[in-house]
Amino acid sequence: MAAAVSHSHEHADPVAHAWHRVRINRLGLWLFLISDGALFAIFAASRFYIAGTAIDPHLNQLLGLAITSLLLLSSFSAYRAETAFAHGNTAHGRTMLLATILMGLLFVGGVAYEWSIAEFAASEVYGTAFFSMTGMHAFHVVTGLLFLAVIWARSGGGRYSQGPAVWPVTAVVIYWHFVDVVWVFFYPTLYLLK
Amino acid sequence: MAILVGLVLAVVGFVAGTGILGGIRTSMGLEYWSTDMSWSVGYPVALIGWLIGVGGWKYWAVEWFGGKAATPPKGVKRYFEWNMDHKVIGIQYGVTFVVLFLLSGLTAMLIRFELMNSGMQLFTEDQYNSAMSFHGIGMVAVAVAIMLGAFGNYIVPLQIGARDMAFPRVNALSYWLVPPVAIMLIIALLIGGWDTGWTAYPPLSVLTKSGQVLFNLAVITFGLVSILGGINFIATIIYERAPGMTWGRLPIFVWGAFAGSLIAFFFTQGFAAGLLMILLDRVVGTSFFHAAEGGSPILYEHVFWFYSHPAVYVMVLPAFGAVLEVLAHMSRKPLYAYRWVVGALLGIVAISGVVWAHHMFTSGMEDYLHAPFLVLTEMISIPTGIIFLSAIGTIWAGRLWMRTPMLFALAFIFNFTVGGLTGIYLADVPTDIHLHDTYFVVAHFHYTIMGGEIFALFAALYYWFPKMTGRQFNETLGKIHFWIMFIGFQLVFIPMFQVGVKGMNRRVADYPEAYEDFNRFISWSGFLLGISFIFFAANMVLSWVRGERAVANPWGASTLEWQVSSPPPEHNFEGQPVIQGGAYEYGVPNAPAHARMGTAAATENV
Amino acid sequence: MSNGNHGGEAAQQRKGLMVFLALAVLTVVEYIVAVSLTSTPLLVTLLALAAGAKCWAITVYFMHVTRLWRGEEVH
Repeated sequence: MAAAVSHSHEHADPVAHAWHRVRINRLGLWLFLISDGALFAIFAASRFYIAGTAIDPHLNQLLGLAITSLLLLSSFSAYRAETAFAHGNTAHGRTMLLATILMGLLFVGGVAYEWSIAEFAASEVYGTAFFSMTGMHAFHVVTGLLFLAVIWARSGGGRYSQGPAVWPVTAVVIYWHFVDVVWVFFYPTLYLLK
Repeated sequence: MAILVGLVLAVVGFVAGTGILGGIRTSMGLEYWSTDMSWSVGYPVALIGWLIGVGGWKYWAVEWFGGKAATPPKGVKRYFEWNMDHKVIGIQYGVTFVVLFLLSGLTAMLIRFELMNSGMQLFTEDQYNSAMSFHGIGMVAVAVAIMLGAFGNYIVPLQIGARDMAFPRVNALSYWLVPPVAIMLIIALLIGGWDTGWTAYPPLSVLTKSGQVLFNLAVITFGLVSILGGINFIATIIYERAPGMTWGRLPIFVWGAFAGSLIAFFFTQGFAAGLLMILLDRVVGTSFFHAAEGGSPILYEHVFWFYSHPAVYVMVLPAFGAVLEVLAHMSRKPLYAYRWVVGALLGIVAISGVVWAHHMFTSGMEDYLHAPFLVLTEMISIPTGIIFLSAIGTIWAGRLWMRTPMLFALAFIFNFTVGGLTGIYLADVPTDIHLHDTYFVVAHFHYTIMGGEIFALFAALYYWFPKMTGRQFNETLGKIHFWIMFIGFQLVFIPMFQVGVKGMNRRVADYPEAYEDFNRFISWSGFLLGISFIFFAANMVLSWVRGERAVANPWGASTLEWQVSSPPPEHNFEGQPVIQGGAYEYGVPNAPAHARMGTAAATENV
Repeated sequence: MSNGNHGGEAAQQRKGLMVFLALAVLTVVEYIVAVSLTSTPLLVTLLALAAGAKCWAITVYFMHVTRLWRGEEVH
C-alpha cells in the first residue's frame, strides 16, 4: 500500500519519485489549509462572541443565496476540470477552468455589490463580523482566482496531463474547494441565523 | 548585494503602495497620508518587493511565468541571499536570531538601569514602555524561532537521513520573511514606539500611537514564518526519513521539533487573528474591541492566549528534545523511558490547546471558566513531569562528561524545575489573583523560558557548533560563559519572586521606594548576567574564525549527523544511510549500530 | 477505493454531478429551514448538521482527502 514507509532518496524510478513529491506536496497543502481554516474558525467564533446569533434584517437574502449557489457551482466545475486533466482530457479541463474563473469573478462581484448596498456600518457588531468575514473570504477567493488564472494560462500543450503531472491543477482545485468549504460555514453563520 | 536590491525594491514597493492609497484618498477628499492605513497598505507591497529582491523571483517565482530558475552560488556569498539548502538556512536563522537575542538583551540592560532607583533615571515613561515592549517581542521571537529555525533546520534533516527539508523553497521564503520583522520593529521604535508590551491588549492597542500598527504587521509576518516552518518540519519528518528510521527510532530532538511544529502550525493563527482584528478596528473602523459598540476586549485575550500559551510549548518542546539529546550522549547511557517521553511530548501538544484562560483569571471573564482552566493547567505538569523523570533517569549513574553543552543541559533541569514549581501558584486561582501582574510572573516566565529554553539553546549551540561551523569552540570561554550566566541568572530572578510576592507590579517604569533595595540588587545581578554574553560572543566569533578544525564526531555520539564530516557535504550523505537500531543504545549488549552509512556506489541499488 | 482514478472519466464525472446535486439540495434545504423556522436553538442545530454534511461531502469527494493516507497512484 502506498501509505507504507516511503523514503526520501532518489527512487530509481522517476515516476515513483514524482508520486513521492505529490504525496509530500499534498500533505503540505492540507496542513496549510488546516492552519488557514483555524484563522477562519477564530473569526467565526468571534462573531458569536460579540454579536451572538443576531443577523441584520436588511440583508439581501436572495443575493446571499445567489452567490452561495455560484460558488458551489464553481466548485463543481473545478471538480470537472481536475477530473478531465487527470484523464488527459486537456481541452475539457481548460474549458472548465475558465468556467470556474468566470463564476469566481461573479462571486466577487456579488460580494462587492452586497457591500455597496449594505445598510449597516462596519462599526456595528454585526457589521464588524459581516465585513471582516466576507472580506477575508473574498481575499481568499481573489488569490484562488489568481492561481486558477496561472494554471489556465500554463495548461496548454498537455503540460498537466495524467499521473503526477496533474498535481498543480489538483493543488489549485483543492484550494478552491477549501474556499467553498469556508463559505459552507460562513453562509449560515452570516445569513441564516436568527 | 541581494539584500541591497531587496531593500531598494521594498522602498519602491512602499512608495508605490502608499502612493496608490494616497491617490485614492486624495480623490475622496481625505489627506494623502494616514499613518495607520498607509503602513497597512504599503507594508505588504514593500514585503513583496523585498522578497523579489533577495532572490524569490530569480530562484523561484520566475518559473510560474515560464522562465528558468537560476542556480545558487557557492561559498560565503550564499549566506547573504535566497538559498534553499537547509544547512545555509539553519545558519542564517541562527546568526540572525543570536543578533536579535543580544539586541533585545541590551534593552533588558537599559530597563534594569532605569529600575535601579525609584523615580525616573534614563527613560521617559513612553520610552520605558517602548524598551520593555521591544525586549518582550524581540525575545519572544527569538524564543519561538531559534530552536526550530537554527537547529531544527540544520539538524533534523541530518538526523533523519534526508538530503534536505520537504519544501526547500518554502524554507527559504520563511527565513527571508524574518528580516522585515526586525526592520519593522526597529522602525516602530523610531517613529515613537508602542506601549502594549508584546501582548498588545486592547483597548490600549486600539487607541495608542501608530507604532502599534507596525508592531502588528511585523508580528503577523512572523506568524507566517512560524506556520510555514511548522508545516515544513511536519512534512519532512513524516516523508523524508531514511529507510529503517521508524517512529520508534527517531532521535528525541526530532520528536521535540515535530511536537513543537504541530503547535506552531495550528495555533499561531490565534495571534495573527487577534492582531488583524486590532488592525481592522484601527484602520477600517470595525468594533471587535470597542465596548461602546458591543465589542469586547476580553475577546482579544481569548484569541491571543489561544495561541500564546501554546507558543511557550513551541519554545520549550524542541528545547526538551535538545536537552535530552545532550544528556543521553554525554552520560553515555540510553535515553531513559524514550517511549514515555514521546507520549509526553504529544500529550503536551494535546493539552496545550485547552489551558489558555489561566492567563485571564483576573480579566473579568466568566467565573465558571476558572475551575476547568485551573484543573487543565495543572494536568500539563503530568507530561512535563515525565520528561523530567526521563532526564533524571538518563543521567542517573551515568558517566557524565562535563563539557559546556552538558553544563547547560544540567542547568536546564534545575531552572525548569523552579519555573515549573512556581507555575503552580499562577495556575491556582486563589494565589494567582494576588500574584497576577507582579514580578512573580516575570520571574516565573523567565525561569521557564530563559532558564529553560535559552539554557537549552546554549546547550544545543555548543553541542552542534562543531558540526555547523566545522570549528571547535573554546572550552574555557564556554565554561566561563556558563558559570557567569548561571549564577547571574539565579541572582536576578530569585529576588524577583520575592519582590513580586510583596506586590511590585510589572511593566511599570517607576515604583515605590520600599522596593529600591531589591531592585538595585536585581539590576547589578542583571549586569553580571549581561557580562556573560560578552564571553559568549567572543567565543563564537573567535572560534568560528580561527578555532581548530572540528573532527566529524567530537562527542562520539551515535546519531546520524555525527557520522558525516563537519560541516556535512552539500547533499549531506554520500550514499543512502540505512537505520538498523535505536539512537541511544550506549552500553546495551548486542545492540546494532544506529545506522549503516551507505556508499555512493551502493545507492544505485536502493 | 472510493474516489481513486479508476472507473474512467465518465463515471467519475457522473459521481461529481451526483455530489454536486446533493450539495445543491442541502443548500436549498438550509435556506428553506432558515426562512421558516423561528426557534433559534433548533435552527442552529439543523444548520450545523447541514453545514457539517456539506463540508464532509466536499472534503471527501471533491478534495480527495483520503488520498492523504491512501495515495492515489495505486489503482
